[in-house]
Amino acid sequence: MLPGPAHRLYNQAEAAMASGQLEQAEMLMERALRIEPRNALYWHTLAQVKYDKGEFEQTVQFCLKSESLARDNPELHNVNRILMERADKRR
Amino acid sequence: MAKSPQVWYIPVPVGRAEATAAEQAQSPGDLSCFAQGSKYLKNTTENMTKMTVRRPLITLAAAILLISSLASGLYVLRLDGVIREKFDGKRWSLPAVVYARPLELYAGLAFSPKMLEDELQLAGYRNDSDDSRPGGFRRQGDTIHIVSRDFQYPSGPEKSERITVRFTADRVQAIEQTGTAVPLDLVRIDPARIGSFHPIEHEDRLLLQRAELPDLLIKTLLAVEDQHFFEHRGVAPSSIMRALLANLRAGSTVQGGSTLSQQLVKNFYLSNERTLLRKINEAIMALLLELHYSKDEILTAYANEIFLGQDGGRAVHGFGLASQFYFRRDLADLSAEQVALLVGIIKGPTFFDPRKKPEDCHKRRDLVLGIMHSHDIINEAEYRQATAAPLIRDGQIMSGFNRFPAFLDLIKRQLRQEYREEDLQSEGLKILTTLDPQVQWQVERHLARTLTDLEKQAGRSQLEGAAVVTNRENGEILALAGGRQATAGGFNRAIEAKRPIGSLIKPAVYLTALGQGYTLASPLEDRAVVLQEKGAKTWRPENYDKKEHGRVPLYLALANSYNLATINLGLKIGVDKVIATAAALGMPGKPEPYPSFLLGTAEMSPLEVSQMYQTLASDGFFIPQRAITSVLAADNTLLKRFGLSVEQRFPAETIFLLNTALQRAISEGTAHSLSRYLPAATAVAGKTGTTDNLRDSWFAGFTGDRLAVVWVGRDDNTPAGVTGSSGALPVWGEIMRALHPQTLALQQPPGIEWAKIDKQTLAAPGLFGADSTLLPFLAGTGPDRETILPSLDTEKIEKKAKGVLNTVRGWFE
Repeated sequence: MLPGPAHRLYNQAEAAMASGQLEQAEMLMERALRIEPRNALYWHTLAQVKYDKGEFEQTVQFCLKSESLARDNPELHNVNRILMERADKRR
Repeated sequence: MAKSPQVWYIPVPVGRAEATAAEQAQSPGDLSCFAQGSKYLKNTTENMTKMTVRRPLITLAAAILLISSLASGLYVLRLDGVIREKFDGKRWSLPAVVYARPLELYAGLAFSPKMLEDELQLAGYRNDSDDSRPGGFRRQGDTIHIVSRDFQYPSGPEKSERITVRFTADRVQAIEQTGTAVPLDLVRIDPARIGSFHPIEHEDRLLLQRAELPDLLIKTLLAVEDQHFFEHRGVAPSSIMRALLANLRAGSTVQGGSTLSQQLVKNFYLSNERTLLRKINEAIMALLLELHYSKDEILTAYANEIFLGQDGGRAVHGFGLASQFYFRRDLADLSAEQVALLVGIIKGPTFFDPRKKPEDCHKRRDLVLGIMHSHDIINEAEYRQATAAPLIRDGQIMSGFNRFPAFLDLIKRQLRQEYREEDLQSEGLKILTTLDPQVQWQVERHLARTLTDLEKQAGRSQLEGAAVVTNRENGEILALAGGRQATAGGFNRAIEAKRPIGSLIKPAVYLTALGQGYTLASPLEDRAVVLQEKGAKTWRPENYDKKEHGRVPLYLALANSYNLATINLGLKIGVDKVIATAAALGMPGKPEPYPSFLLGTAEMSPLEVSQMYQTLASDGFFIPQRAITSVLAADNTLLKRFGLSVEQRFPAETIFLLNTALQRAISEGTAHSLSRYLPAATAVAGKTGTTDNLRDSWFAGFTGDRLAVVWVGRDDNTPAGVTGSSGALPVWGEIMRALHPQTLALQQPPGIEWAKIDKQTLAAPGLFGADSTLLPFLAGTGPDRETILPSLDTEKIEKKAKGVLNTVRGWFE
């Protein structure tokens, strides 16, 4: 699948997360979802940001949202499952 | 709220009221400012009484002299205090400014060149051939060249960019950097200022620093208003004399001798009355001002303070805002004739108003250009070019600030929960919102037009309406109309009109049933029922068509909005359970579990209804709706962010079944007339609502990208003569048609299978089954497997309904 119009924002969010700029990453992903609202990977990425911020309830919820849109994407199902497990242990 | 370290922020309450108080204190009859001095005077007077024995006259004269010099000394001190208090304190109250959402442009976006033009106009961009400076655009057929403006987002600053947007067939085809042709994948246009919070009559300004005042403006200003500004010390006696002579010769006031400092003092502290005392005060204060502050400080204050025009209830102050208001340009980008116009109208912004007095204004501008030429500020060629230029282009002057009062009202209500009214009016906050001007325009246009059309039929008059449109997936409120006269403000029906929601409650009933093991094919009894509650009258609910429809499948009872089937179902599954579902969807309050709740006696505003339907639209996830994304301080630090949050409240499977039934309400139920507005392929899911005697008409529904709720009725709550499908639905249809909605493709969860049922037997169709329909079922609950009598296998089906959640939970065990 070709990357969508918000792909650059997603890349920037990943970079921001890597450097610990979580607020920045969160804003970038919310913006990305405004442009591609049904992109399951983006919902998962926002779940990751929530996890890094220590918001574990929201981590699970964003993973569930990602799951609801993920269709046949075993890789995404897998990362959602792992992240939910990790978040659940810490909440 | 947190105080920002900005220079204007020392919390001294100043303003017009203060200036008036100062003037009162200065009036001869009021000696309160001598209160301290009078005590001293008394003692002195007593001492002097002893001396009067020898030299009464001299003593008296000395006393008068002493008293008057003391008094005037104190008086000057008092004026000095007034000057410093205002100048050192927060000089101006800056109202909070509200912005629309920034427009995101990318290839493939459904957006026409006309839409982009409208949006740029709203944001104060100027449409002209000079597209080299920020804030300008130029359209050539299906291509638009833009120079965006710097904007400070919560995530950081974004710089002005030169971009070219190409369209084909009302879509963005490509975006590139102007000149270099480097392709751009995503571009964000700085958002439109859509309003501000201020008292009804108010001053507005864009504050500028000294470095932001262009040379051309300063030279012209000094040449016209105060040639010796850098030499005098606040007052220029020679100028006053010259003016006095000129005025005497002319027999009226033709020349003012005031320096810029005097003008500033007058604007800052004094009223417009022309008395000698005021003139003296003005002169003293101007001298004091110059004693304390540098020429540059005074010049900057003057440039920000001076009154330059009126925009309805808003007074345009300062060159920064005036430049945007009259020319849609930054001050630094003004041409000679534009600078001449601004400096020219200082003399009388009403008398030389370019909109109302273009000829007077033109003459004045050219007079200023003449002065600029004679002072060598511009050369001969520039002078000729400038005098030949038109005064102002059509549509160039901005107006209609606070264009979306209903949406601003929503913003204000939310802000009031966090900020004090005075902070909203004075701290210069920046409020970034979710308003989508494109959607708002369509909502306003079609609500007004459709209501007018509806009133052409007999029995309908004085109809009112309200509408809310949100983003389906993230709950952002894109548009809100509080009445048919969008610009009028006033009663905001979208928020304040709480009306019975009628059949809009039914999805909560059917969602509860689906969660308890019912299927879309479960047979319901649409038969008369008599309800007797303790202490209440006997209640005999009826269907809209006054008929009983007997045994009907669940999906059809919802699609056709059968009251009797709904009551019977609701009583069986429990009114309290239905209320719990409605609450989980987002219904506010806790109504009593009366059976009438099942037919929608709960009173809600359109905004509250939209929050409930948001949960359906986003596949069972509760998403708090938002209209504000963030609040920035005047110095652009992020004060507060309102982020996205989600919470799954219903299993994907039951929501999928319910939303499929809501699609049936449009394809074959009460809302089938929607096909007049949108093709069937859009597959809208929605619900009509009508209350007793046609008092309220509702429609709530969603497409692939947006959710909208519309209410139509009368303010006096008398019958409006419209049902949900004949009143609110046409409004909804017109709005959505104009927005070119995306198709609603419901996300089918894994545990769903499709099966046909015979519409008569509600079982799997036989070999010759003529009238059948295809419905989704939770795996294992389809009609061909077993009988669908929920009373028999509730437990088993309930287990399946909770399957997914259990699976998720299982991961954590």
